[in-house]
Amino acid sequence: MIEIRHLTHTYTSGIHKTDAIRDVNLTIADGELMGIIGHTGSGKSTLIQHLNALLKPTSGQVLLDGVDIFDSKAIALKEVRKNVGLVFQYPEYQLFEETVYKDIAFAPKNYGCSEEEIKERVLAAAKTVGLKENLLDKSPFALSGGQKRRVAIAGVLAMNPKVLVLDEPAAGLDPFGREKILYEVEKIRAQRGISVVLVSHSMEDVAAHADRIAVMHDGEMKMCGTPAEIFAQDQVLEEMRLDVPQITKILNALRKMGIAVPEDIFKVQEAADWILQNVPFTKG
Amino acid sequence: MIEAKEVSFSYDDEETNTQKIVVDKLSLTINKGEFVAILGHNGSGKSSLVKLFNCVNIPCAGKVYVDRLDTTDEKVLFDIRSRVGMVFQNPDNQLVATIVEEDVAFGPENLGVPPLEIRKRVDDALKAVDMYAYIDAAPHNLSGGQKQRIAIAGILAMQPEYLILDESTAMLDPMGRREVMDTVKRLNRQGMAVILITHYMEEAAQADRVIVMEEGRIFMDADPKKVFSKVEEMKSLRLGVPQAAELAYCLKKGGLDIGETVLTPEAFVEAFQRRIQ
Repeated sequence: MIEIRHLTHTYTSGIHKTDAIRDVNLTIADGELMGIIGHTGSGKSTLIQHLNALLKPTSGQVLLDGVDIFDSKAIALKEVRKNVGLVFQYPEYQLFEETVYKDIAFAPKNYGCSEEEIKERVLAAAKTVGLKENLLDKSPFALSGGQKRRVAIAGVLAMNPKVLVLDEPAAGLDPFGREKILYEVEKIRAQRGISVVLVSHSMEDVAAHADRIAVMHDGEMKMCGTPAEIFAQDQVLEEMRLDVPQITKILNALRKMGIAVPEDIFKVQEAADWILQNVPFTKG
Repeated sequence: MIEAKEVSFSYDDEETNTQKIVVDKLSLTINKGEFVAILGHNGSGKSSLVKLFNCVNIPCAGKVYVDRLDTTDEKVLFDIRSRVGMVFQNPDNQLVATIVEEDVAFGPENLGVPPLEIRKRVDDALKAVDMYAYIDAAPHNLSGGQKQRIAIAGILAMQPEYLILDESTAMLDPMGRREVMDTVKRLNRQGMAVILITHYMEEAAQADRVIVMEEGRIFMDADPKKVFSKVEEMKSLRLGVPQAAELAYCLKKGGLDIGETVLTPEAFVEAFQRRIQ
């Protein structure tokens, strides 16, 4: 479990001080998939960089299973980074090893795992993200964009983190690649029971995959709730430079027509199934 | 008019020591004033194709002509580049100056446009993308959508005939995407040809014509309604359709056919209402 308490980060440049984030509070349970949305510059990146102590807060705390990660007497920085894995945007540009295997093995090797343990972790991580074993001996640079991204995520997973933070893992991928990565993120959460934080600009993606969504705006967390609770606020979201998924726009219109579509439907197939079962129509 | 005639493009694959063909004997005509979206999965050849249109890529076989100018003729390189402008994906690495107006002036300055004319072009370009109020701003203080609109203004200042956007909305938040789409649609209405590469099906649905690429060739070339009625084909190409069209398709499979292909939530709701009454 990771708890963010009264987190504030102030950037100073010359005499100017800007709060990048201000008094953010958020708890992410084990096995929970938390989506974070917000406009460019709303503080999402600053927030997630605190989760593995890349940034130190101006004030406030981040607790990992009850331990303050910025208290060096309580927990070593190395332990923090091992337990909270951060996958940056476009992580495929961060691959550097000769083979896919070596790239994924980099972190466990640095953490002093035995060869046997390393192998076990690399194979498990590769399997989770859907990389076939015959790719492990190839150069990561010979892979497609989507595959490279999987290697980068596997490299973080190989640390066996308790919390996995992904910044726009699907950006720039084609619709199929996008769906596949998000399916794998859900699988990671289900198989490993870890907390997953998913930062995204796609309302469709967070609506369909997150358990809860936190909304950042101008450095503050303005809302946090289930997709149904968040996307019921369509006007507030638009004022915050965000949007609701297309499917939600459609279902909201049906609701206005008096069709009581449940609030928690965000997948197209589920919406179709519900309509077919509940809306009377003549076949043909 | 941009004409591709049996054009091919390949590059050396260092891993396997072979030539990788990414555009394969492709023929295509894009007219002035058209709004064309190009779809295709990662690696299908979209970017390589459009880079043939402004001499970033040079054909290894076949020809590309821009307003009858041959892209392999080095003497007309500048002429072609000022006719075909391109905006890329990352808003943070295509602005070169520290002040917005200087950035927009960069293109015409390099083309040797006289100073007074540059002044006018910069002002007009910033007004066209609705960023005139930011003329003195520093680019790094702008949002992603604003940066992309400055990049578009920088292209407009060269007075091109064709504007290419290569996944220029991929890194933007929802409002940034809307801003860029509204801007290019407005420019298109004023006569600019727009060639839009995107992975967002909702954006492609706003074009007049959609080209679907696969393995360096054209798989489909039709209006958006026609293209997005082929749900299974699009999925088999690792693509998709707008959620409104997908919902209509799922309902049709279940026996509830709402009629014509719909591309937007509004069109879906209208057709749905007609059908169940």
